[in-house]
Amino acid sequence: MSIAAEFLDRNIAPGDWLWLDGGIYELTDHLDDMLSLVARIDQVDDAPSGGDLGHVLINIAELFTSKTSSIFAKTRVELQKKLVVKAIGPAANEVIGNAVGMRQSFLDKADEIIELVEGVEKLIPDFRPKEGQTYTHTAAIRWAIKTFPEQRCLATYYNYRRLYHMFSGRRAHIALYFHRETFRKSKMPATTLHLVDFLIGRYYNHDELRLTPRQVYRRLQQTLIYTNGLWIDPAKCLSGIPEDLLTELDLKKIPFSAIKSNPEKMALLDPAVAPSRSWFYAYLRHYLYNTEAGRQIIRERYGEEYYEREFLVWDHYANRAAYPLEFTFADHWEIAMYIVDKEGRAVLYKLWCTMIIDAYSRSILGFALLPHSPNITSIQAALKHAIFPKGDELRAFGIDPLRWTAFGILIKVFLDNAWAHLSESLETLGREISCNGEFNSIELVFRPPYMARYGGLIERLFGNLEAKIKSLIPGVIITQDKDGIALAKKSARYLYQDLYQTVLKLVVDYQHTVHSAIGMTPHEKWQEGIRNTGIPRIPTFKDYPDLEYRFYPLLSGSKTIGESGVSIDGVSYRPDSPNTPRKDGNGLIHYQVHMSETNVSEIHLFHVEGGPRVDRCVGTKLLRPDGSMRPISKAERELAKAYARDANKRPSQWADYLSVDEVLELSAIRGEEREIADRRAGAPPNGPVRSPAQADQALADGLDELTENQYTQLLRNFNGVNHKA
Amino acid sequence: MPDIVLPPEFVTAHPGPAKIVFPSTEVISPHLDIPARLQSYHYAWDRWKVANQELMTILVTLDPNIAYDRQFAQTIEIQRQRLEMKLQSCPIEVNAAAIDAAGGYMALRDPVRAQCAALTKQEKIDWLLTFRCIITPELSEFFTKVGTLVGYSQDGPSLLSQGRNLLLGGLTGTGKTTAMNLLAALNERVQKVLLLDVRGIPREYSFFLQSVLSIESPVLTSTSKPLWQRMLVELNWRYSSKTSEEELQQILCTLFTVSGVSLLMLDEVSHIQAHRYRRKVLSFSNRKPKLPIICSSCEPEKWTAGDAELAGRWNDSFTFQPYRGERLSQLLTYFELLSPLPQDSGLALFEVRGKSGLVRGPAAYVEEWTHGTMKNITILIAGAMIMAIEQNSPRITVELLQRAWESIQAKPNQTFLDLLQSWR
Repeated sequence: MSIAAEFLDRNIAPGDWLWLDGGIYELTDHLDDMLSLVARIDQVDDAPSGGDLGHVLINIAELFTSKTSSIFAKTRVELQKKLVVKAIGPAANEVIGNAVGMRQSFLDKADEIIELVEGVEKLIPDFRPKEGQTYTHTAAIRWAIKTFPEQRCLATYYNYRRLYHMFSGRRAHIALYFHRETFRKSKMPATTLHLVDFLIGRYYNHDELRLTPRQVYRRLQQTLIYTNGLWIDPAKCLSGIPEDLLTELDLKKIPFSAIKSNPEKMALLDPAVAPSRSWFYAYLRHYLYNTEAGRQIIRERYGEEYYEREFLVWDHYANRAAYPLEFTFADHWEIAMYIVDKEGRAVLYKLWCTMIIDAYSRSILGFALLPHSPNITSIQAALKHAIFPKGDELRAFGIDPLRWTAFGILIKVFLDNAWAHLSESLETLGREISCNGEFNSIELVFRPPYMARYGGLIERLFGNLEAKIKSLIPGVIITQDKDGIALAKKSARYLYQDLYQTVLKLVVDYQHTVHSAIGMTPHEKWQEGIRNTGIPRIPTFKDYPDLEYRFYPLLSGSKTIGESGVSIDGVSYRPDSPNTPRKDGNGLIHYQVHMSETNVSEIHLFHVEGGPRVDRCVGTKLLRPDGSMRPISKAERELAKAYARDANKRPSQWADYLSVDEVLELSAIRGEEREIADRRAGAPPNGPVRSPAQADQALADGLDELTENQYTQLLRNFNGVNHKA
Repeated sequence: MPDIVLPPEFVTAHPGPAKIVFPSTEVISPHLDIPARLQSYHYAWDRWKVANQELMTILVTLDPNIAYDRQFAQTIEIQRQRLEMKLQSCPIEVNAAAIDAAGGYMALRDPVRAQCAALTKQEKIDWLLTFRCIITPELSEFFTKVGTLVGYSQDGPSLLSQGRNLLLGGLTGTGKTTAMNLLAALNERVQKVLLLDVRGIPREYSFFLQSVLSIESPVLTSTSKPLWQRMLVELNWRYSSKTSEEELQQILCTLFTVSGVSLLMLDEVSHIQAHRYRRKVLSFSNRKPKLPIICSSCEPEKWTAGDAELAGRWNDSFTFQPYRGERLSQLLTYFELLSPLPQDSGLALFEVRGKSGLVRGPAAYVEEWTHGTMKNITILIAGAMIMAIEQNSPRITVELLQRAWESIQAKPNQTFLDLLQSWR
């Protein structure tokens, strides 16, 4: 099943079943707010099903933020299965196995293997050798096999056992093993497939060109005439498909005889056949309506690099988003205004806003407003805000919770490439949010900085918000000159929470403003989408309490627990539980460590393979004399390090210099210094923007190029200029 | 070897003042035969390898503790440098007439593109040897000027046949030294003669018939001897440390005549700072009044400053300008024209109109990194082209330029030839 189908299947819609507080409900109808559902009470407190026991109204968003557990399923039987699974553990494999859509015969075969291996292993302890014979394991296996009605030889059993252990007894995986390599693969030669994929990607999917299917097909025919029926065979391109050859074949400016005379290039070419027009159109439709599958095919056939180079056309994702949360985009923006600190109202600083927007509905899913330039905390905080309902927060600011109802686990999020180096932490979060496949995971796509084609979506939004902020708030930088900045500083009076509230209100207003691209408000579009797909299902911190720590940044690399605990940055963190395993059969156990930026006094250990939190560890040096934990922020730690350096000590000895007063004082100084440096660094460049990648993209797209006449003039003048001093 | 003992038969056989040879060029045309040129490159590579190996073999047999061996080693180094300069003997020239005759840029570019499509990766990299020596219009103008200078002095005993000197200026890397070395390499001939060594045994000796003599001026502190000694070494002549300055100059005067030296070029002339040494150069110029002397430095005017006689003698100048702005775009178009890559890279663009507005184009980066010096531009473009060829990229991107520049920064002393050799 595709990611999209899985996602839609998991969403909550009328007809679904719900287990809540011991009761079973059938969801019957949506209310207009698209957050509440009418539910028929089917069973209460594990009593036998009573049929129609009345109706209740359930607000799904409230349900997710409450402390109660809930289980959703598409049918009553499935719900019961889930209840059983929850009670007995890992039998969920079977459900997955059936959903893969494999042949029944292979699934039967997998069943047979599992039955035999598990059965034999269960029987072996009962084996008693005959008198006079010694116990051997082989004899025990032989004996156990014979108890099964279908007689299998020992070799077959060993084969079955190998497969069983190879796939850890997972039925679907074992069944998949029996499929031929060519299963569900096209019979068209690889050369033709590549040619078709290439032309679709370059000419049909292209932003500027957008050839019609007929034109693309004609180009395919012309190409094959030009190449004498030859095209690149991806299987022969061991180090990736050569882009230069691809360009040569496509440009058709070079006589093909020249390419033919090059043995290096000819070695990569093989005969390709022109597919029939109907086959081509069917193939094209496959792309058009199934972006996900098309993407998967290209990646598998030609590799990630080729896919990114030729097919990552961002606008398409934005334009073709078929339902909410399918394609989302994250970006950040420095709000051009100064705010003051709460205590002295004197320290001036700026805030960065990281926002996530949904391509389908243009709804803002969430944002984070932080006083530092975007980092891992910014994006993870924005993700957290986007995933969970915002009812409580809206209520706290006196806003009707039904005015911003967008939430849910993103399916695919496009991020700035600058965040790619943080991908380990983000990827872990994206993976772990699925809670072992119970929910969908988040796929991260790091767009190269020059791929700013979605800028239209998110940057326009930032522009609008900034314009509104400028018209509303004192302290905004209207002009970037000296006087403008001085005026902004002088008139600054907003606190952090004031600006947060302003941004929140602006977002809510935006949600209810008609968007020209969709012809309705983002809120309406979101509701329309939800009506079709169902309400997104998300994990709750009640059911998955450890998930919260996954939103803390993941430290790079794994850590082990030494004699004095986990050592990080000169501080030893001791596990809360003395029984936390340090070693296994392979030596020291490696753990993933999550640490909050607002509290570096504690860390949270997770297994590298994923799963729930193993333990919490507290920095021993950071405890108060009474043994309680003193929360230290990352910023404070950095300042303590600076203080240690000033005292000619190693930065790792920062904990010894953690005097709060000194740190606060230093914090003020360093904060001001950093702001000055930031302002300098952020000074607008003179002339064209410095962006090599953007220049490359523009040149590759042919947005700007020299004409033949310009080239000729340049060359002629090269000869004619007087070079005398 | 005695200080100077020339056999009478050599003196009678000497060729006298020689005409200066300038690099011959092939004018670009749609019929440019890339495979044939590649063949000549390969032949030149092989010849260079053999000759270089021979010289290296001699070099390792020399004893650095023996003065004559040290001098010989210097001569070998000079010869090796000249061999390198001769590697690409016939640069490609682009002129307006050729462009008009062909019918514009594309008419010249397309045949290059088509022929390069048939080349293997290694052949494409070898083709970059084309950029080893570019006869830019500026260089061409310089050669014309040199030809005129030498012409004045070779017109026989007339009033005009007097030495005229030139100051050559330009920032480091703009091509002054390359131009001088190229002339010296092209104007070198070797004649084998038999000379008697110290024990009276006749030995075969390579006598350099050098119509252009180019040396790098030594830093003179206590004596001007190193200057004259370098000239002798350049001519493959030995000297004794006891030989006085006056004697060295006398030997040189004779050797210049018999070797047919028609042009003397002193590179890095700012090394000769002290007034008394500058006067010695002037004095030597007086001894060889018909010999044009080119003095080169970043700011050669400073060398003549403060001495009216020197300033009067070196009253003509030529400056190699860095390639910036429009000139850089023109030069980059030349590279683009001969590029072995299938797609044009827009190298000449200073600004590119992207989707989100104007962004800096490739030329802006090239100018920023290289400061417009020919040496850096050539090695940067060639490095980026090699990377593009290796990665099967159809064009040079700014990213590749950036990586090439970083790689150049990592090996600041790498020459163009080192770069190409590393891929052979």
